[in-house]
Amino acid sequence: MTNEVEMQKNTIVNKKFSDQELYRITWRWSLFLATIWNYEKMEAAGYLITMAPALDKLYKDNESARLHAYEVESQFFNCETNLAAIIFGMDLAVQDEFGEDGLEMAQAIKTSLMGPFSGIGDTLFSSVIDVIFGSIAVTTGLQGNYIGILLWEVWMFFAPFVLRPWLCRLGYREGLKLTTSLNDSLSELTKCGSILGLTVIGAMIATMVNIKFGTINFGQFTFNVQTQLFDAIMPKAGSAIVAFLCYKFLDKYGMKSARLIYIAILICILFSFFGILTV
Amino acid sequence: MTTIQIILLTLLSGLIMIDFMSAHLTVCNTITTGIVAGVIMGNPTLGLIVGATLQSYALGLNYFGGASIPNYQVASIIVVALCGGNLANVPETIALIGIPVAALTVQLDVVGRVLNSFWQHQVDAVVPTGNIHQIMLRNAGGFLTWSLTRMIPVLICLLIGPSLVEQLNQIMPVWLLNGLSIASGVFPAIGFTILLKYMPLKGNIQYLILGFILAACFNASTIAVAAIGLAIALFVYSLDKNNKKLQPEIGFNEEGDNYDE
Repeated sequence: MTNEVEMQKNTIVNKKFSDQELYRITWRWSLFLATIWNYEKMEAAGYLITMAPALDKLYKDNESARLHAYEVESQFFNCETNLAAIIFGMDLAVQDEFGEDGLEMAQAIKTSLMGPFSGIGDTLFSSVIDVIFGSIAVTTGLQGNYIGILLWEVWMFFAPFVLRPWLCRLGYREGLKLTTSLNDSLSELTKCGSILGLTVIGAMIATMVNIKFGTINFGQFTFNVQTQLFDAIMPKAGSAIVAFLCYKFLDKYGMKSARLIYIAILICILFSFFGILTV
Repeated sequence: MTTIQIILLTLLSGLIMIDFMSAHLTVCNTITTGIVAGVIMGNPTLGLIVGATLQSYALGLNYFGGASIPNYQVASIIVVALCGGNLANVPETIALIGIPVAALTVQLDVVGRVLNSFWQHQVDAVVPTGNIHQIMLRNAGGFLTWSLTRMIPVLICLLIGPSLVEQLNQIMPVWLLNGLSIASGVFPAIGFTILLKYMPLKGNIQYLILGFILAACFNASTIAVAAIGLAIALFVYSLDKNNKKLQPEIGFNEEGDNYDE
C-alpha cells in the first residue's frame, strides 16, 4: 500500500503540471465553457480556451506543433460540465506523455468519451442532484424559508471549487488507465443515484403537479369528478395521469419539449373553457 | 417601479445568462434570481416564493445536450417586478404573465445560439494564428449576445408591463385566466417527463411509484422521501457489491435459492 502511494507520488513529480496549474485550467473551463455555445461547434471554443495555457507550455519550443494543437483542440466538443474535467485531465496526460504525437489520441479520447460522459453526467448531476436539491429548495422556499436554497447554493459552489478540480486531477493522474476503471464505478454510481432520483421525482410528481377535474352536468344530475371519483380512490391520480400522458407524447409525433409546452397551454385553456378542468 | 429598479432588473436579466453560461454559481438559479429581484423590489421573501413556484416548473429542466427550454429566471424577474409587492397577487401574476413569458423565452434561447455562430466564425478565423488573447476577446463576444437576448425583452416587459397587466386584467375572460392557472399546475409534469427521458426508467419504475405513493398517500416531506430513496440506493449498492463477490461461486448462489424454498 505504501509502495503504491510512493509510486503515485513519483509519477506526479515527473509530470509537467502542478495541482495549482490544473486548478487554474479547471477554472478556465468553468468560466468560458459555453460563452459562445452555438449549433455548429457547441463548446469547442470553451475547450480551446481551457487548454490554451497548457498547450502554450507544452509546445513553447515548437511553434508549428503549438498551432497544430490549437487547431485540433478547437474542434467540436460538447460534454456535461463536471465530467468534462476528467476529459481534459486525460487529454493533458496524453499530450504530456506523447507530445505532438499524442494529439491524435487526445482527439480520439475527446470524441469517444464526451458522449458517454454527457449521458452519465446529465443523469447524475443535472438530473438526480438538481432534482434533490431543487425539490428541497422548492418545498422550503414556498413556505418562505431560505434554508433549502442555501443548501443548493452550497452545492453550486462545491462543484467548480472542489469537484471539477478533483476530477481534472484524477483524469490527469490516471490518464488512459481511467477509462476501464471508471466505467464500472460510474455506472454503479449512476444506477444507485437514479434510484434516489426516481424516488424523489415520483414524490415531486405528486406534490408539484396539480390538476383538478371539473363537474359533469346532465340536467338534474351533477357529478364532481374530482371529489366524488378521484378523491375517493386516490387524491393525486390526476397528477399521475398528466405525467403519464406527457411522457407518452414527448419526443413522439415530432413533439419536442417546446411544442409540448405550447400544446399543454392550449389544451389547458380549452379544458378550462369547457369546464373539464378547474382551478 | 422607479427607473433605478428597472435598470437593475434589466442588468440582472443579463447577468442570468452570463452566470448560466459560465461559472453557474448564483443567479442562474431561478430561486436565487427571484430573491435578488425581490431585494431590488424591496421584498426578498416575495422573490423567494415567486422563485420557488417557478422553480417547481423548472425542476428537472436543463440544457441537456444543448436543448432549448423556457427561461424561468427571466419569468421570475418579471413576475416579481409586476406583482406590486403583494403576496396575494403572486398566483395571478404567474398565470397571467409568468407562464406566457416563460413559454416565449424558449425562442430567445434559439436566437442566442444562432447568433453565437457569428462569434464561432470570428474565433475560427484567429485560431490558426495561435493568438490566445484574440481568441478570448472574440469568445467574450458571446457574453454580449447571451445577455442582450434576455435584457431587451425584459426591458420591454418592464416598461409596458404594469399598464399591460391592468389592461389584461380587464379584458381577460375568466376561463382564459383559469386555463393559464391550470397550465401552471401541468407545467411541472413536462419538466419531470423531460427529466425521465434522461433517466434509466426501464426496470426502475417501481422507485418512481414508491416516491409517488409516499407523497400522495402519506404526505411524506421531500427530505423524508429523499432519505428513503437513499436507503434503497445504499441497499441496492451493497446487494450489487455482494453479487459481484459471489459471481464466481455459482454453487453458493444455488444453495441460497434452495434455502429460500
